[in-house]
Amino acid sequence: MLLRLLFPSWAFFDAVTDVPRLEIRLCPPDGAPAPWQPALRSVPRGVHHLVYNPEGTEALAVQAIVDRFAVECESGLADAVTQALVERVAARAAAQAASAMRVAATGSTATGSTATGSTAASVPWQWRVGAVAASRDDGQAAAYRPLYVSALLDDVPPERLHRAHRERPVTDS
Amino acid sequence: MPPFELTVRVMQLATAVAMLIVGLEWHAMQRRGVLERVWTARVLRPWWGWRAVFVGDAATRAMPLVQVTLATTLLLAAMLDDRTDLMGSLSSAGLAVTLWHTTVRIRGTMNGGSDGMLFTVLVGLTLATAPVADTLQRGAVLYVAAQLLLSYLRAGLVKARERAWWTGEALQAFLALPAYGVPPWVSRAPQLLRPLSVAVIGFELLAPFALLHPTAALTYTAVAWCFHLATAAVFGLHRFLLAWSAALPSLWFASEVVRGAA
Repeated sequence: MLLRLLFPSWAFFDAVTDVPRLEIRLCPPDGAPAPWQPALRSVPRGVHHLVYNPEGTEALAVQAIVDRFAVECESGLADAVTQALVERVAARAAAQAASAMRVAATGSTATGSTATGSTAASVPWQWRVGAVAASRDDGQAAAYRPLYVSALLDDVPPERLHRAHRERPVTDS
Repeated sequence: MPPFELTVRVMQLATAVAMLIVGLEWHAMQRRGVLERVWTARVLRPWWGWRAVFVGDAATRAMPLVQVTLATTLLLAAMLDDRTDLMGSLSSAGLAVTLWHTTVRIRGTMNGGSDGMLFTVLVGLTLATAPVADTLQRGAVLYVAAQLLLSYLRAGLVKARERAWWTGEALQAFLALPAYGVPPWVSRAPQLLRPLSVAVIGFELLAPFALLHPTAALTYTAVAWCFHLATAAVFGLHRFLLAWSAALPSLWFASEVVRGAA
């Protein structure tokens, strides 16, 4: 790490290569899997973000984890720690998706159960990392090249649901 | 004020501001829960090994305060008259250690090359204000200038080798990357991107010519600052603006050395 700080590569924005993208999907046990959706979204910026932007810094740092995992997958040397970090990032997006699904479902049913009959806290989910052609980063299936697809994971832990729900309150429509 | 002293003072001021922002952002990120939901000790401890003693949760939570405190003392040191001030040197050294700490904690740089440039500047300032020989003090600032020139030259060379950069396609592709969240007001018109790309390559490759004369160095510094301001606005790379602002004064000092006036 010290060497990386002392001798950076300085090769900024060199070649146009495929862009690694992290995606998640919910897989309700009694329904069809939801479509894959991007786990990371860009953060809107204002003028003051030219000086101070913790959300933007976090977003770039998290994207760097995904980029690193993609490189490791391409080289066949996927590292367990990198994979675990990517899974942490994906878990948050899954929690947010599950929370949104729960809120949407409770808003549409009088009993408070979800449309599929299961609660958000028991929704299994998956994540994957793929490469998208940089010039065609439009989400089209043809441009997506999967590099790694996780196994079906168990519940999104409730504490993550709580945090995600608290950070992104959803108002009833 | 002689060129060396003036350069060091300006670098200290800019570095203090940069590290203040770094500390405040790290604090804000921790408040958002990144240590619990992304860079958790449970996941990273096997990789930390013996370093776990230093980069655990308690030490990491204290780090933003340490950074803000040391950035403040560096700011004060920049305003003192002493040429070799131990406070400035120790503040710079301490801030360099905090950058290394974050890099180990999250198993990588927080913001790519900007962390590397800030670390370079901090190491340079540590030596430039330490009670050591004049040659070593000046050499430390020249080391920062050398890394700065290398950063532009290498970035320019790798772009010059890519045909897509000469046609503007590369810039267009980078503007389309969702990770950078490029604002919608940024033009994607090929007739604009092509000359802009060529201008970026030219600007980066011309960096060594800034050494020829102090006026050239100051002109290049002004253009470079506008370039980094633009990348901050377009790509959200504000930390590069902060880090390179701290390093750019070294270029003027290096040009004075080349001229024989420093």
